[in-house]
Amino acid sequence: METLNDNRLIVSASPHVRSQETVASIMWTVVAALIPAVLFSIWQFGVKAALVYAFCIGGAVGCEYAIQKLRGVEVTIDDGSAFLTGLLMAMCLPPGLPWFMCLFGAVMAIAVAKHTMGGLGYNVFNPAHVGRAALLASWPVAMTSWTTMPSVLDGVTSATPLGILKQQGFEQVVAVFGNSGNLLQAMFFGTRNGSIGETSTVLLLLGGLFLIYRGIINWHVPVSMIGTVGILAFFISGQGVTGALFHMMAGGLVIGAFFMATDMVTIPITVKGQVIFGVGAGLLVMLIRTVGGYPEGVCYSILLMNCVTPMIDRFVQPKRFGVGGERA
Amino acid sequence: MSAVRGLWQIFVNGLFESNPIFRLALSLCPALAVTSNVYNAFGMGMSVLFVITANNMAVSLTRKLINAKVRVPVYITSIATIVTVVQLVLEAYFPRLYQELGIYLALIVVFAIILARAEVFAAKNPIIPSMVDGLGMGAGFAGAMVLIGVIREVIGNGTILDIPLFGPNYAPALIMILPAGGFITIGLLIAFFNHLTEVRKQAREKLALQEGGETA
Amino acid sequence: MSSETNVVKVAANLTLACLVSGLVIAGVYSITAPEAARQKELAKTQAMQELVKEADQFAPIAGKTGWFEAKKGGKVLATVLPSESKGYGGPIKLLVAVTPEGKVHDFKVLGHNETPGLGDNIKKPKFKDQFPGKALAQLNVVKQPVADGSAIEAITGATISSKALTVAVREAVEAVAAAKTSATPDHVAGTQPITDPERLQVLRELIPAATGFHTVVGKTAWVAVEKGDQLLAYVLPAESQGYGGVMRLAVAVSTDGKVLAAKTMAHKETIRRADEALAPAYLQNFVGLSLSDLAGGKSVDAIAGATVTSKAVLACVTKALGDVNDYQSGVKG
Repeated sequence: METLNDNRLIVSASPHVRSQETVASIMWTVVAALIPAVLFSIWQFGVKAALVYAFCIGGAVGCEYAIQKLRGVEVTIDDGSAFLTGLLMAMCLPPGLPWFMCLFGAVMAIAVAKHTMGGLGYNVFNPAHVGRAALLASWPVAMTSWTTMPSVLDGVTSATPLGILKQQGFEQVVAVFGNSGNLLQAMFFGTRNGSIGETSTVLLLLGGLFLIYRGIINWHVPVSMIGTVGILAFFISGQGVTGALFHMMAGGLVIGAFFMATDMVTIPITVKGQVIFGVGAGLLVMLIRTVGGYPEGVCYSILLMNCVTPMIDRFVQPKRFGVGGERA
Repeated sequence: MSAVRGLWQIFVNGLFESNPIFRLALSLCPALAVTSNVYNAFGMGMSVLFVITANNMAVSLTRKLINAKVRVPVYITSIATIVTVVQLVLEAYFPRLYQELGIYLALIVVFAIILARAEVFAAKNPIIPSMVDGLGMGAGFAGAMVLIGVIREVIGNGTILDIPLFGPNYAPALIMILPAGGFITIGLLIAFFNHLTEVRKQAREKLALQEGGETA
Repeated sequence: MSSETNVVKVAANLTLACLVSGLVIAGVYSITAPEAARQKELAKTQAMQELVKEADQFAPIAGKTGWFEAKKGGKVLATVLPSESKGYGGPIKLLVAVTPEGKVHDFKVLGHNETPGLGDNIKKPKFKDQFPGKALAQLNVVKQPVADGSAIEAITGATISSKALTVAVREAVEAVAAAKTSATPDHVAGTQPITDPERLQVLRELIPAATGFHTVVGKTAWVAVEKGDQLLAYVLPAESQGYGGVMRLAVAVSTDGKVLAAKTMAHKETIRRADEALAPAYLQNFVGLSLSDLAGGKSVDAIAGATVTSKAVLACVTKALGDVNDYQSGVKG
């Protein structure tokens, strides 16, 4: 580890990763927290979803390996960070996405979003969401084509609930599911269409709570982000509590809030900053869902808030002891 | 012999060492805006090549007549004249290019690289080296534009000069012909050129170290 | 060196630069201008030639800027005209060719700002080839696949662009149809087609069978209604004094002097049952009435509790029938 010795006194950008084991254990714990939702999605969408997982994870890990070799730095594919990026990206993609698109997204996530910024710990944007955004810009039709679910579940196999909401209004969403009770139930348990890993609110919630319990993420961003969406939806969706619950469970909000917007590298450091981040992201989600051209905006809102993270950090910087404040 | 070699040095300087886009990072606006296909990128490159060469010659020719106080207005007048001429010619003989370049054609007037070469080089050098400098810089610019254009058109549209490359089943990655793809391409290319410069510098240092002071 | 000579020198410098610049541009312009104009003309005919491949001549249509008749050996193949509508990213500009039968021949996108890969698929054959041969009634965008070609199937993910394009084509077909009807029957000589969309909407609701609407010579606010190239009726405003003030109805009177339809346009009635007397259901009772019916004592019963309003409505209808009668006997006599 000659290079490591040379750089021993260089202070890198935060967060300061103290040891390799910590990174690996964090990453693999997050992966473990996602496993129930992943298994559910494979059961729900079948082999198509499994292939998307395989190509995204394979692409991400392979790309990480190739670039680390090329850069002449230590190869760290066993720390699980590339694996997790690939996994999270796959969970935000529609089932049945062609293999080359999965690989393209993985390369965008790892090569462009992560390694051009300096690698693990330096990336400004959440790599998985960068991959998804690049795919959405590149193949808008494939990225919004929802294939039918071949699962044994009695799920509704049509456009995504948010897609129907955008095109035909809330009445139609309710009509598709029978009644609003059925709708909320489907949203909660995941018997509905959507991106591979975003459908089952309950399993994602369990995974998220597990991570909070283990102290890997804290609750401020998920709660402020989902809460903001809920409060806004209560007032502006015109559907009261049903609308609020619908918007809180719809689309990629739960997975985004718990697993993407908690990526410690790309969000503010302080609790105050994290709450600002969560509220801002929630505002943007509702802005895009109700006013924008796309049915769903979790990916863009988190990326946009990633943009302003350094600024938030600046504004809510804790005062150093003895500096600032008024003198008596 | 050495005079020709000197001119060659000036020319090559614009191509690589001081490449306007990749090394000087000037004129990035057109490099983003009109490189979504090779045809436009090449047309823009040639237009700039012509403007920068003609302007360098005009400035060099009149460098002793121009009062230093008003040199910038005079340079801009000269550039604007040449750009207008290019515009008129393109409109008459290359209507498609004229349409597609649109506003960016007129914007050549304010490209930093052109005024920069007039100020830095042509105002201090005789006409022949000034012309060669213009050609070198223009060729460097045009080459960079075409390189970006090729990458973006091939990946983002599956064609090169509108000729399909991969058959009808290829689904191109649209992001590459959108502005975001332009930023990514240029960023990666600049990184690549920086890396190349670094490698060449190291190699040269190594060589100098080995050969001692002989070749200095 | 004194500052004065400096100022003179500076001024001379700038003047000379501008002079040279002006001369150069003027010189180049004098050479390229004719060529540029030729190229523009060429591009135009080329676009039209692509649109109507069989045509050997494009004759401009008098009184319509940008309209051309595509002819082959003197026979009119299609009318070529520009059209425009608002797409997703800005205006979509088209050149549309319409056959003499009023069907779409083809169209060509001249300019657009739609999203690459989505909206710009309006140029792709899969979408574009749906248009040729379609009549006005078939120019509607649907999202489901259509087997019998009775409608236009939208591009997946680009409904707005698909709709905008179809609207532009539709408007072109309508414009050609309007120009045609205005060209044939005598009653529309020297008149204009109605173009105000709000007014058209009201007129269409009033007389669903109509195919064209024109102004009437010498009669402000009158509308001549055509079905095919036959004059069907006149729509005219009629006013009378109601209970609360002047009320205005739009009354459609057929060419044989009968009420075809009526609609309340404005009123100041406030009494309780007045609404009933102004509602479409009550106005429907007047349909079919003629002046001779009224003279013979046939009429429509007033609404109890709104007698004044009912009478005012009747007065409007009577007035409209009388006006049309006068106008027609004046035209014929």
